Amino acid sequence: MYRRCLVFSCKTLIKLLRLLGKNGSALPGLIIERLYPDFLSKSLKSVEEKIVLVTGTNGKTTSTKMLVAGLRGAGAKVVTNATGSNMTRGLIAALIEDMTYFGSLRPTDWFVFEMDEAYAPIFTNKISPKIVVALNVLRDQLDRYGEIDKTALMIKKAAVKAKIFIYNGLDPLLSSVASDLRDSAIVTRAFGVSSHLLKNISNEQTLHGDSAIAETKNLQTVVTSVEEAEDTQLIHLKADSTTMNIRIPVKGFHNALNAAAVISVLTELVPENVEQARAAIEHMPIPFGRGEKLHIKGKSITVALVKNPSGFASNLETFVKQANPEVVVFIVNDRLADGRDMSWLWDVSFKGAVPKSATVFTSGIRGYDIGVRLKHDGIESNTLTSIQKMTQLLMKSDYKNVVIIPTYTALFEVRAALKRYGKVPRIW
Amino acid sequence: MVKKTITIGHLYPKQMNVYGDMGNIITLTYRLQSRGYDVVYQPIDTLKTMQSIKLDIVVGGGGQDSNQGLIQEDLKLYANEIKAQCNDGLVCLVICGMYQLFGNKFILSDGSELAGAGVIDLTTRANEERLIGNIVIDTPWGKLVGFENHSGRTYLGPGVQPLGRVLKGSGNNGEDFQEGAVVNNVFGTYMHGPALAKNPALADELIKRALKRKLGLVDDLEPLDDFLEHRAAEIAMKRPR
Repeated sequence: MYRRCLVFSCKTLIKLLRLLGKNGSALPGLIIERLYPDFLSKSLKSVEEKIVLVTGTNGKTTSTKMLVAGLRGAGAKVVTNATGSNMTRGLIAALIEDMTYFGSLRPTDWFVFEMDEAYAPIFTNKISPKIVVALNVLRDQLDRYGEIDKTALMIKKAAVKAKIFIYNGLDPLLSSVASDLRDSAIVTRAFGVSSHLLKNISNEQTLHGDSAIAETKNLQTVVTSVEEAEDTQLIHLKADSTTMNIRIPVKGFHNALNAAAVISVLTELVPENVEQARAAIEHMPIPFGRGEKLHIKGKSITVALVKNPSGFASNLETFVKQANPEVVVFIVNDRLADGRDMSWLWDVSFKGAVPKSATVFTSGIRGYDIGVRLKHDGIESNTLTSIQKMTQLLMKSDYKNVVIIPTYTALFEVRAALKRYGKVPRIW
Repeated sequence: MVKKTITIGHLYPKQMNVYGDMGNIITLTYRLQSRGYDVVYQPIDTLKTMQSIKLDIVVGGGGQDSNQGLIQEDLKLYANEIKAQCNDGLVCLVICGMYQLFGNKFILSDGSELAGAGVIDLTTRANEERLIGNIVIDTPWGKLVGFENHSGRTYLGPGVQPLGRVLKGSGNNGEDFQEGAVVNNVFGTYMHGPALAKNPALADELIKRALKRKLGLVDDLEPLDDFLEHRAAEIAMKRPR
C-alpha cells in the first residue's frame, strides 16, 4: 500500500513538473530513493531476466538510444531511462513513469538501462540482469573514482551477475574481465572492428602512443567498413557469419563501434527481427548533445559533448576537422559532474584538428584553462567565461555554421541559453 | 645564428602518463621554442638511455598504481646513474608517482617496502584514503596552483626543502603543510593540472636552470605573454577543493 501511494504521488508530481516545463526525473526519483530504498530491487526482481544494462565510459547514452529504437522497431515494448540520468534516481523515475498509478509494471518485453559504471555493481547486488554491455573503460573524472583499473573492477562485479556479457573486444581492460569469466556459465560476446580499421580507434592506449590493441581474432560482431554520408554513416558488419549493414544517424567512428555493440544485443534479443530494428535505428532522433544539430536564427549549430580525452579526440576529428565549421566554441566547466581536474585537457592533441579558417572561442568556468591548452598547440582563441554571454555573442553574430564542444554541465547550460533564441528539443 | 637545442627526456612515457602530465613537456617545449630554442623530445623507456644520450631536462609523471611496479626493476637497476646525474645538477621535474619513486622507499600497508631511486631523501607510506582536489601552495616562485590525486603520504627527510607551503589542499601528507621537494635542480611535486601549465614561473625556473647548466646563461628569460595562464590560475585558485 505504501509503495502504491508513493508511486501515485510521484506520478502526479512528474505530470505537474512537466506542465511547469521542468525536467521531471530528478525530484520524484529523489523522494522515492529516500522514502523507499528497496524500490528498484523490489520492483525489478521478478523481471530481471528482461533487463539489459549498458555501461562504460563513453557512448552509453547514444548506444542505449540506438538499442531502444531498434528493439521498439522490432515490435518490443521497452522501458528505458531516456534522460541519460543513469543512477538510482534516473532508474526510479523511468520505472514510475511507466508504472500504473497503482504501482505495478505494465507488460514490458525489455528494460534497457544506461548505467553509470560505479552504480552498476550496486544495482546488480540484488538484480541479475540478462545482459551487461560494456562499451569501454577510459579515463574519466579520475578525481571521482581514483583510477581506471577500479572502473574495470566495478564492471566486472556487474558482469558476473549477468547471463550474457557483451564487451568491446578492443579494450584491454574489458577483455581481461571477459577472460576472467571464461570458466563461468556466463556467455561472453565481443565486438570490435577488422584489423584494417584499427587506426581509427582512439582509446587509452592510442592516447599514450601505443597502437590500438589488435585483438581482432575472437570477435563475434565486427565492423568491416564504414561509408560516411553527410549526417549519417553506413556501417558494414559481420555478426557471427552473417554480413549486414546498418545506417546510423550519428557521426564518428566511435559510434560505428557502438553500433556493433547494439547489433550484438539485437542479435541476442530479437534475432528474427533485426531487419526492422535496423530500419528504426536509421530514423531515430540524435540524442541531445551527442552531435545533435540545432537550427536557430538561420544558424546551424552542432553540439557535441566531451567527457574525457578519447571522446574529445573523436569529436574533434568528426565535428571540427572533417566538418570544417566557421566557428568552434569549447566550453569547459569543472563542476563535480565534469570532474574538478583539468589535467585531462592535456591528454588531447589539438594540433591540426582545428581548421585555420575557423574562429575559436572558449567559455565556461575553466574557459581560460582550455584557452591555455589551445595556445600551446598553436590555436588562438578568445575567452568569455560566461556561457550566457558567449551564447548571446554567437546569436548576435553573422556566423552560420557553429560547432559547440561542451563538457557535461556546460552542455545543459548552453542548451538552456540557446533556448532563449529558438527551438531546442527537450531532453526527455 | 645557430639555434641551440635543449633535449627533454620523458621518463617511462608509456607507464607513467595518465594524468595529463605530458602537458609539462608541452609547456616547456612551447616556452623554449618561443624563445628561439630547438627542443628534442626523448622518451626514456629505460634509464639505460641516460648513459648514452645527454638530457637537459627530465620530466616524469604520475601513473596507475598498478604500473609503478613495472618500472621498479629498471629504476633499481639504474638508480646510481640517475642519482649521479641529479647530484651533478640535472634539471628534473617529477610528479606524483615518479616523485614517490624518486624517494628512498614506499612503505605498503602490509609493512613491506619498495625501494625508490633515492634521489630525494623522502619516504612515502601507503594510505587507504586518497587526497584529491585543487591545491594552492606558496613558493619562492609565487603562488602555484594544481590538482592533487594521491593516496601515498610523503615525509621529507631532515633538511630537504619542500617546494612550497600548502595554502589550500593536502600536499605531501596532509599533516605538515609541506608540498613537494626541491633538491639541487630536482623538483618533485604532487601537483597535476599539469603542474607547469598554469604556473609559468615554475616552468621558467626549470628552463633557466637548464640553460645555465648547459650554456652558462644567467640572464633573465625573455618575457612571454602569459595573460591566459595567469587568468586560468587566478580562477583555479578560487575553485572549490
